[in-house]
Amino acid sequence: MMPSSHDLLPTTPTPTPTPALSPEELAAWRATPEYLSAREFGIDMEVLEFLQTLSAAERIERNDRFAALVSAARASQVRSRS
Amino acid sequence: MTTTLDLLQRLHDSGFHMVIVGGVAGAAHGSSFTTTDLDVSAPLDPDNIARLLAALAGLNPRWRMHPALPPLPADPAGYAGFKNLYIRTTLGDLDVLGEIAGIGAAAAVEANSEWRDFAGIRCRVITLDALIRAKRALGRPKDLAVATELEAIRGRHRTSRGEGS
Repeated sequence: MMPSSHDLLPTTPTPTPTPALSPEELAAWRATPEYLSAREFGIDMEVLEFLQTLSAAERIERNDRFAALVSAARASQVRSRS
Repeated sequence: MTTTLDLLQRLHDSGFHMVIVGGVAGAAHGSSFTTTDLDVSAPLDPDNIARLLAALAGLNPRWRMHPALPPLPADPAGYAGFKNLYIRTTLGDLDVLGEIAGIGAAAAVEANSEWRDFAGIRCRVITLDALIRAKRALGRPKDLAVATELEAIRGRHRTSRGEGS
């Protein structure tokens, strides 16, 4: 029988929230090629910076709220076509 | 209103052996791209399928691609030969994937995963590096956009660790 997820639990807790960057670290991040590339790609970097301050659970809850809006918009489009 | 965490809680409580991949993994790593389903990598052996079915009990699980078919079989032996399971539940869509592009089968994905805490629900999530590899391997326009964003997030982690980029 395969081990379950419970059998593989680590003994040390994982920190949940992502620590915010200091002003100096934030400035350094904004100067990285990856950050600049993403900004040029059209990604909203203010949103990305905000998300870095949330915990994993908060990020999933935010995704679900937006997903509900997306689903409602798709349903509305389907109704208007029919 | 969250449903993904509710679904994760059920999968966790059943002992379902899995690694979160796809859009929810991206969201967990801080991506801004929205996803409407939960993708997980998992071994599709009878024991694990039994845990999956226990987790989905009462959620009216059905085949997402074939909603007119009867509900999912209750016998884990009925899933022999399946490589992926695309499931619709009352808590949202769940894709159980036997292999991930750019990474490999479930064991390889687990080797490229880390534990994350979702408000008390501890689950394995594909690492940021592996998710970037998977997105690049898929190569669709949206996957490449997500990969670009994830690379920026990786730059953030390197910055906070004081590493050069």
